[in-house]
Amino acid sequence: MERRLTRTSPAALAPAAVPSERSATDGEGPGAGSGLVWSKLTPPAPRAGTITRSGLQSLLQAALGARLCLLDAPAGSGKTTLIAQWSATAGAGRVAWVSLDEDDNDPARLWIYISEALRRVEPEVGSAALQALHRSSVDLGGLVLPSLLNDLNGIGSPLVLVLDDYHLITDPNCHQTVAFFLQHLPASVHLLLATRVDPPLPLARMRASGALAELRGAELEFTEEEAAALLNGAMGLALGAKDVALLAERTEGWAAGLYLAGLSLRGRGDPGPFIAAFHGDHRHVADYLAAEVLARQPEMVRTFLLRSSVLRRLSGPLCDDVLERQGSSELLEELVRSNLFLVPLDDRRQWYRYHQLFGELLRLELGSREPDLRPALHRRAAAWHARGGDVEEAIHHATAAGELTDAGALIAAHWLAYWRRGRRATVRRWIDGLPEGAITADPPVAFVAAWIGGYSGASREELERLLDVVEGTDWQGPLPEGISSLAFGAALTRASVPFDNVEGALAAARRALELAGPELSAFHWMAQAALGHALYLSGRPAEARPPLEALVARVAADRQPYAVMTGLAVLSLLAGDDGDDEAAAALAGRALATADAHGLGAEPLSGIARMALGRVLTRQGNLAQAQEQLESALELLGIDAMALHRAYALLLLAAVRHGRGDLAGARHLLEHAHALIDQLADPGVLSSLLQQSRRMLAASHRRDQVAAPLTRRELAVLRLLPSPLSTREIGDELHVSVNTIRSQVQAVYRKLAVAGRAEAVSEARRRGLLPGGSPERDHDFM
Amino acid sequence: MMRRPASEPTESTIYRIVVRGELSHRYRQAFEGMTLAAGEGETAITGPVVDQAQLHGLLDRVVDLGLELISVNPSRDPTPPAPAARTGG
Repeated sequence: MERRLTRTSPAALAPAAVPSERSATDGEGPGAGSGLVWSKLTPPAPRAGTITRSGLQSLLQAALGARLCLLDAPAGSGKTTLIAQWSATAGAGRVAWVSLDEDDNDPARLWIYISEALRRVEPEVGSAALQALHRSSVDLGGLVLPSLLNDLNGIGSPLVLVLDDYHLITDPNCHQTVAFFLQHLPASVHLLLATRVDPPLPLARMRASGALAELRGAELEFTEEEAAALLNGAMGLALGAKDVALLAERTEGWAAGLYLAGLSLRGRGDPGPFIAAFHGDHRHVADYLAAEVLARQPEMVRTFLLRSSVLRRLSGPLCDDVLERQGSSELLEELVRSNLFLVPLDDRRQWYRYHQLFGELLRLELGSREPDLRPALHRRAAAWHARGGDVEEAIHHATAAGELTDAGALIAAHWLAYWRRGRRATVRRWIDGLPEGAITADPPVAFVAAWIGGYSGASREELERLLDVVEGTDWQGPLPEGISSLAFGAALTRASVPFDNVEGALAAARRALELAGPELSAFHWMAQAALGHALYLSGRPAEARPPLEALVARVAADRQPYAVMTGLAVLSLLAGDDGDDEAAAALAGRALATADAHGLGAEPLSGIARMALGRVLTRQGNLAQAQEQLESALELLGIDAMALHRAYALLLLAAVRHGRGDLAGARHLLEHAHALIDQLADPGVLSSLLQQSRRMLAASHRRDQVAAPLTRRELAVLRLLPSPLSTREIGDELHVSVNTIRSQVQAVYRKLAVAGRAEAVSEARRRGLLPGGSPERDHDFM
Repeated sequence: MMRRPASEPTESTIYRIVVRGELSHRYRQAFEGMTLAAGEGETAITGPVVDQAQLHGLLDRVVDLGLELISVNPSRDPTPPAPAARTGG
């Protein structure tokens, strides 16, 4: 059940419907229960074993005069440490921080974290954006980003937003939103991206305009002085200058290399031989040194490091469970104290993670030594997280463990809550993360994949393939959340994603309603809206009205925004067909208001509301605005699944062009509509609507032929046409040959766009070229 | 992006990715299906690559592991290493 969102406190923003990630967080903080991992919003705590690089900090400070500061260097260069230390200095000012991870490749989730980060620093910023982000349909470009940018416009003093590990963002939609945000950033806000690869943002342009400042790998290399400060100062070694120089040279100033070297040297009496051997070796620095460091650990520690490396975030209880041991909390503390790659994530020392690069190396080593242990480790981690309600972690580990049944069950159980919270991209990532064959072997997951696919532009073939799995099964296991039976789910998907078949959609909608069961679930109303819509498109207006009127009367828009919006839009079209323009206008207005109020502005289906409004505006004579609405509708309806609706929108737009006198444009749109309708398996009533539009356009075209004037001789011929004289006799009268008169008569017929003499006369009379006609009246458009 | 039905790779190109530093055997599993040959301060990662997505996946691993990329080329070696079965996605 969706809880109503009120505009009061932030805590009210997050219904318990979304499984909380609390057990993977420190559990407390503002908005507890909001499902956020709070440690992502704070810079990592300062650690021992690091130095302050004040030269670099000054560079960074200066770079932040630019709108975008890019810190772009390989893994293990010390980026995060540098920014974290800098952010604590007085000069940094207000810093909003987000530590990104792979799961942030869901635009809704990404912007939730960014908004929360900004809000922590500037409480006036982000409330409206966060509201818009927790809906089932998230309109980033239309609502979230403009609202956030608006809020930021009003802040008093400068602020820096840090996005750490931006290279983990690979989703193009995410990049698009960041680019947009960057483009419209107010002068007092600066963005600092720490990354390992150049992000796909318009860097060249920004460089040219001075909006971009960069610190790259070369600048982050440790100098000999810094290496000495790290090894001898921070890490407590006592190396001579020559040894430091050798290490700096061998590692080329790579922070991770120096650090590992320091670890390898701890407790060695004479560092000389080791450094010499290392210096002379050709092996990759991290490979060599990580092996070295691991080899020197007590077996128990080594085993712990390797086996716990499968975890993205570590806590004592989690490690105890997954590694089947005890006392992990103490061990983790110990590891932090001895600086073994572990980063505390919070102040309360509950959660940690491995430094990314070292975690990779540990996993490699684990894969080398105990590869067969990994599935069991992931399996236990999945179960632990599932118990704690960390859905995303649980699914990640279940998938990694190859426990596809478990992963599928989790997806089926939680998809609806995530769908409702605008986290479709996350559900899609879960599904995309499953190996080939896993989806087709799991009918509930196939349903979820079909549903999400239908709303995000999946092709007909893909959808068919998935629905075949859903329908062709006698699955006895748990059903996807919210669906009363797989047959219902499949029917509902077919009804809601009509592609090109009106009768098909209609049959599916009827079937869905039959199968929906006595409980009026959320999806029941979507099936009802789909039914009314299909009935309308199949040319049965009288049957279409009752289900839609019932829907609109009984269901509150905030419970079922899609269904209500669709119902209102189709009722508007029905009213317009009946000539009740006032009702049509009111209904179209309500449809759009529903779309706006629930952030459905970016949904393909909202194109239908715009179509209804476009038609109303056309009939009101407000053609310019009608054109705007219909063009917008066409864009929204651009996906294959909406081909039927798109064809209808084309017809409506053609009428507008026609009305504005653009006959060529109208004809072009009708050609386009014709081509589209020809490809539709069952276009329903659209074929006859197309014919109607063509006829009206042709009629206008004929009227337009007046523009080709008759010559004097042709007029003379015309004047004699009403008479009983034969063509030859007219020719005699006008002293022209038979052939000449015949071609002149043909010319008259052509110019009047008629086929025969009687028609020529009546058309000429109608046009006032001959006396005896009445002036033409304007015809109504669609 | 929805998944397409699996199909047998009909053709793949042999690629040779060279990184700096000699890598030990443990890196083999980071580059599944590829052969690692280390020498003279470099490592050549060679093997069949079925499409661009796989190639970029391999290059992402290079970045993740902090390796320095020297070159990426379709291999001209007339006798490429025996291609290992491609596991996983």
